[in-house]
Amino acid sequence: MNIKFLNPSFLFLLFLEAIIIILYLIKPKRLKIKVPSLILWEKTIEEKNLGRWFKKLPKNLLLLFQLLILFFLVLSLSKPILSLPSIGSKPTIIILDSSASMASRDILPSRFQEAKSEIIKLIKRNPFNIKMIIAKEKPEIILNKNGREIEKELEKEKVFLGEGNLEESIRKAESISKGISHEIHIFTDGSDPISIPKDSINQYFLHIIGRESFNIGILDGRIFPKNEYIYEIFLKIGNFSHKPQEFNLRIIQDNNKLKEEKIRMEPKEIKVVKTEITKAKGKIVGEIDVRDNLQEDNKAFFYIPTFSPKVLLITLGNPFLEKALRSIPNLKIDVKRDFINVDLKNYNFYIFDGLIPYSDISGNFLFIGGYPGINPQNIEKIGKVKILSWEEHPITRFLQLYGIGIDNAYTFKDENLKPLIYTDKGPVAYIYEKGNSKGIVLSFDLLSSSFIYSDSFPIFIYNLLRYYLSYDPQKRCDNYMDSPGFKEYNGYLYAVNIFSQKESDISNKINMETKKEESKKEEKGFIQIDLSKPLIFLVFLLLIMEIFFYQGGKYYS
Amino acid sequence: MEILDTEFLEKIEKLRLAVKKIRIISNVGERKSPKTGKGTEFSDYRTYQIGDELRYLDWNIYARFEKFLVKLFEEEEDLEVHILLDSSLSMDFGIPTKFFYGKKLALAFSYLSLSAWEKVTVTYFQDDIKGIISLERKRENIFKLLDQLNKLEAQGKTNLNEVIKKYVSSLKRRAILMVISDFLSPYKDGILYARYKKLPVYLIHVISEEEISPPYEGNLQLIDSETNEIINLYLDKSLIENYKKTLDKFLKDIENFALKTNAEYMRTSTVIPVEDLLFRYLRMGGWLK
Repeated sequence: MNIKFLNPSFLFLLFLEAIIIILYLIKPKRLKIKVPSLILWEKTIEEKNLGRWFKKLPKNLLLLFQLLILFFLVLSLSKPILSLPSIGSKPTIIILDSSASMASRDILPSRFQEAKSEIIKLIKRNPFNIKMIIAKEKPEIILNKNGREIEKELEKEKVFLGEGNLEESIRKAESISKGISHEIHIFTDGSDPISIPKDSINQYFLHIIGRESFNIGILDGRIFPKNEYIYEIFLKIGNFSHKPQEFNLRIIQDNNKLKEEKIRMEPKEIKVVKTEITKAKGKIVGEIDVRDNLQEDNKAFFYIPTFSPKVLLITLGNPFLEKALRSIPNLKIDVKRDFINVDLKNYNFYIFDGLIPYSDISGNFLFIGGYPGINPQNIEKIGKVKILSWEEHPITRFLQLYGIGIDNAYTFKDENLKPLIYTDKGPVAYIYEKGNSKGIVLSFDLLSSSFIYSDSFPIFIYNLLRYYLSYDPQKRCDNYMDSPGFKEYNGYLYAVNIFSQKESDISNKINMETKKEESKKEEKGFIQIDLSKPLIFLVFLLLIMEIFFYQGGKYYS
Repeated sequence: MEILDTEFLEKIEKLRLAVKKIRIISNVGERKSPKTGKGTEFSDYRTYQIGDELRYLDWNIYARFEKFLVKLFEEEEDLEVHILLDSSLSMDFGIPTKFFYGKKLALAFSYLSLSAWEKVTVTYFQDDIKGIISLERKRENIFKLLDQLNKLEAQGKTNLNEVIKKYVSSLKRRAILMVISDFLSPYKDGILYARYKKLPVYLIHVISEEEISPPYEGNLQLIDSETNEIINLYLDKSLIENYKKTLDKFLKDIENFALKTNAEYMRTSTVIPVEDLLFRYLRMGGWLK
């Protein structure tokens, strides 16, 4: 048993004890007053009840309290750490594999729940000095928590429906151990092979959670439009069991079964199944009817959003622009001559043709002839020009702009503008991004150019809307990765899937030899107890006693 | 040192003239005894009994009603006045001191009693009787008393119980007992003994302003003037309030005791001039007529 001080420089404050003693010795003496008799005074003090009891207290009790308060306060500031020898009770780092395979139910309720309860048991044996790392795609570190707090954090924790990163978590654990030997306990199902650093001063313990590995899963999935009416669905399915499996694959759209086919797979076989469906839109689910250990990868979710822009066009009249917009299917358009009494919430794209608002408005825009907050000094007239080149951008996809003439063009110089289309005398189209405002700025009047007569113009408008109003419904986001399915986030609907061969293969891939070797070592460790908090508590206790004795004793000492 | 002078006696004399007939309580000196007998003042009638002196028969009544009624007269009794003055150190406090105030009171009562032709004895005591000044019935002895009182200084401890018991048991005749003290030592047994001996007891309680509201505060060492005992305390407003409550209780206790034992009790502070006390308080309280 030994005590270390993390902030030993505070110990010099102990010299204040001497000052208290000196002050006590030189404190002013009581004023002596002769009174006719003490009879009445004695009775007065007796009525305070405490009087007699306090009279029996040692005279310098208050001084003793003051010295102890200062002593404990200084000790607490110096952060004393008491180390007690104990077997298997070194500072501990727990790594919890939170990858999708941990959701397997070969152990009920699940591997992840089992791992959590084993961790809680471990914490109860050694509730101090525990750090925890949740091994997700990016490891999450939980520091400076006691056993109870870590238990609470654990209760909230859910399986991450992605691939875990145990290797990265081990590297993190090595870096936070800071040269002090730690016990590192890894709770995993072994689906992710790991390698333990050979020169590590830390002692590793592997806790493999999981018994069986019967799983058939959808490892990947894509949906593509074959033509206007038919969509092709590709599903990559893997049989990770040791037996041949036969099961049905169903395609469901909005709870209606579109297709069902029987599939047979050999052990350890991975195959891609292609199927076609018509009139595909909205929520589509590919499902295999197998009762295996990991249910989460038995469904593939797809979402085909409907492209239906709601456009507000502010113009004094531009039939070409209007026609280009109206040619886009499912587009809703409102044409206004001014910007008064318009509820912007009803639209998701705004086109300002020559009429530019004074201040920024959040949303997606096409500004023609200017943009909000334009500085007149940044405008340069370039007159009659021809388009020479353009940037590679989804908006300029399929465009042929070369040689398009503009009678009266300008260039804008602003750091918020990124040139998109160039003429022989400078850029005439810009990508505009300022705060929540995003869009394209054209520095010429459409009607004064031949752009509106070209085939590229309606494509440009379509690309523009598609670029700003489309999203990838299969995009992954940590905020909804706790279970597969359809999730709404920021007003958009996303299809969430595991789609990971590594996670669907739930068998243990960690070499048992390594495991044994790593866990057989059990050497002496220490329980380290931070004494600063108990000391602060003691200081408060003594302070309360000091006040109590002072209040009681001041009448009779 | 405060000195009693003849000027004070003049004031008392004026007081005596002003009230014309001074009688302490129920006529000190020309005292009516509870018995009826051979006095000069008519008291009552009663029917004649064999053996009564014929000269006390009221013949007028006999002439009118033919009944023998005997006139009864108040029998006058010659009682002594004994003034016990506490001269312990606890009396040496206040402005003027309680002791000086007590001396003045003793002098005043002695003078008034002598004027009423009473036999007066002034005794000063501490833990024992320290001196007895017998004034007999001679008014001129008041100067002897004045002189002796001026020489007297407060010292020593008090033992009221023992002193009163000792003094009362030494009395051979019935007498009035007047105790002038601050009553800061146990007194009840002594008074009870005096009452048991059927002595009319008059308690004059002298308090100084300093005792009523202590003028000091803070970290103090209080020293008992008589025993030199010490109490260290922190005197703050709350403790002063408590002290005042204790004092109030103490005073009420004396009052109740006096009421129960049928003793007369009068309390005074040293800031009240003795002349005023005699004029107003004693008259109002029925101590003087």
